[in-house]
Amino acid sequence: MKNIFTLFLLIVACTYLSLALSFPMFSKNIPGSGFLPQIIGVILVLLTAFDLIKNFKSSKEEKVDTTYLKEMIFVIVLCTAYVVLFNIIGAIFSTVLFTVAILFIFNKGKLKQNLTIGISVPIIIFVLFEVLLKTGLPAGIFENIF
Amino acid sequence: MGDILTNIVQGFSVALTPMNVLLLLLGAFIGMVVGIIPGFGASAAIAILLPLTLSLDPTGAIIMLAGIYYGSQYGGGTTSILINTPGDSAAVATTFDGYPMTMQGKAGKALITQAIASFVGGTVGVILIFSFAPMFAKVALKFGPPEYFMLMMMGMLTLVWMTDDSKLKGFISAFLGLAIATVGVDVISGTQRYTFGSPELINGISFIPVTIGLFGLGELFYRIYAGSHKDDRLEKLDLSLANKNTWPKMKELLAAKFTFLRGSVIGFVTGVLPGAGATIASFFSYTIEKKISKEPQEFGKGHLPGLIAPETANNGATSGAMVPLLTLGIPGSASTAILLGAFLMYGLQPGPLLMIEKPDFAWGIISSMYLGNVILLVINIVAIPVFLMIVKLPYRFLIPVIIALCLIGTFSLNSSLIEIWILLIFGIVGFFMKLYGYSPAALVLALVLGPLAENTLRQSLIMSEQGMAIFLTRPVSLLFLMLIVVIVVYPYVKKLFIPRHTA
Repeated sequence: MKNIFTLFLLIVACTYLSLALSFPMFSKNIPGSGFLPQIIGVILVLLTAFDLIKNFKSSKEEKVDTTYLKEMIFVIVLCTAYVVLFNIIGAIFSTVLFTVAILFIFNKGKLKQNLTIGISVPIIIFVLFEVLLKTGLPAGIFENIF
Repeated sequence: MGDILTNIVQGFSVALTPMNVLLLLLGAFIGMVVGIIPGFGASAAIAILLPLTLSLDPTGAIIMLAGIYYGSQYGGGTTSILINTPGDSAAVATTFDGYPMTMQGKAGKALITQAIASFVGGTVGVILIFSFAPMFAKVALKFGPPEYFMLMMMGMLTLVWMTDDSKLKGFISAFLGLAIATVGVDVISGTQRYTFGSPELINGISFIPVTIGLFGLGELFYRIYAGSHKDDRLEKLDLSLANKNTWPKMKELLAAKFTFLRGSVIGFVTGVLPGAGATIASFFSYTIEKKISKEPQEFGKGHLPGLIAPETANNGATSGAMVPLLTLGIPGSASTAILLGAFLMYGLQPGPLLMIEKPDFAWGIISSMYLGNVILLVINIVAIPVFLMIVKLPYRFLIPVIIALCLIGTFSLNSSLIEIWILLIFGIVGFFMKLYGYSPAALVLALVLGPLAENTLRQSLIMSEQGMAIFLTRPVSLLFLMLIVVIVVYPYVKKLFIPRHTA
């Protein structure tokens, strides 16, 4: 897993560098828009490559602790759904859904408590941002109803 | 001397308006609460709460953010003492003697001593700012692009070099930050870079979703992975303020008077240095205190000076870090980098001119820092039961609240949907960075400094007639370069001179 993350960084670094090469290093004898990106790109590729080699050399492949891995992935998936729904069904409904869903997993069996928190917390946040700070949170498909 | 007095009077007249005092109170309190949450320190507190200040006037907003900044420093130590879980890295050294005190049933005493130590550290720090900031600003006026560039390099390098974690991973983090900073329109030539034709990326990737992602979501994912939500953490504690044993004795405090002073000054000086910050200051102060103590064997067993030393130092450092931020416009840590971002968002360019052109603002902030320390001392002692409640609050309830705050907060800044995706992506990246020992702090500092570093570097080279030689021919720039060499070489030289067996 560690190697995969380092490899991911190396790929990012290589892509960054290859794009940087299309910007001019110098234009009219002064450093151009590609000057710093090319320097950063070269250094970043070298550093991440070195990091990856170092990882491979130390033969100890660490074990991923799986005790709570499932729960964490679950939270990340819910977050993604939250981000997707945020604009579709609006800020307040997506927040209520998200909060209740999280509590449903982490605070099993306490339906009443979960619903109370799941509804009151989003309302507090909503009042704070929408009423006091007038942020203009998305209402999504419910826009025309309110 | 007269100047300092004028500054103080001017500062307090700004800080003492009812609105600003209220904002300060709010900021300090919220900062403390966030600081108490394990894993969430000053950086996370400022980043997550920044959107809340949007509707305020710049002075009020910065006063509130500064309150959050050092309030979280006060709060970080609370969980170190009560449950041996530091709020953030700056509070790690507080666990050494703070938690043993709790084990001995002296939690109340430890908390109050911590509050007093934080207060002294913060107060000495503010006094030192009043005395040294104008001097700094005067010197900084003479700096040109090469000097600024060198200073920034020094800051980033120190941050990476001083950590115990892998230096290689620290550098990778910093260069990733620099790379992200190059996204958007190049201000010198007007070329678009890495925007992929997207109009949302023309102004670059804002540091806010990145920072909230790394420090807010990333930290939270990591906490879930580590199982924080399963802990039922606290046994019964007697923290009644009416209990005489809850209060430290005057005699004990007076006996440690030099510890208070040393810790504060060490903290302040460390804080002023670019790249070094509250974490390094607290460890440094603890080590020194233990070295010169007559009873070093008592340290780590609930010794009062062992608690006072790191707590005065991390608050002293919090003040110290404001000096380069206000006078040079160069932050030395992730949290001051986020403050700099906030300054710029409100159209304030910190630097030597800020002190001269907007003295009421600059001194108002500094004065409000002093008031903030007074307020925090009181809150810290009076509200101990409230904090106990927050510490007892199970992590699983905090998870949805923190995530919702991060997401809605990020969205509210620019009403941008792309930014909440960036938030999520950096939340996941932040988790892996934390898991594998990369440095989110270095990434954020580099991201905020990136555009400034690029411009000063290119301006220097445009000014220069012999390319890179410009950094060697200007005395101040050369001095900084030599300092950088010293910082890099120091750990190796130290190894050479200290025989292995004593280390």
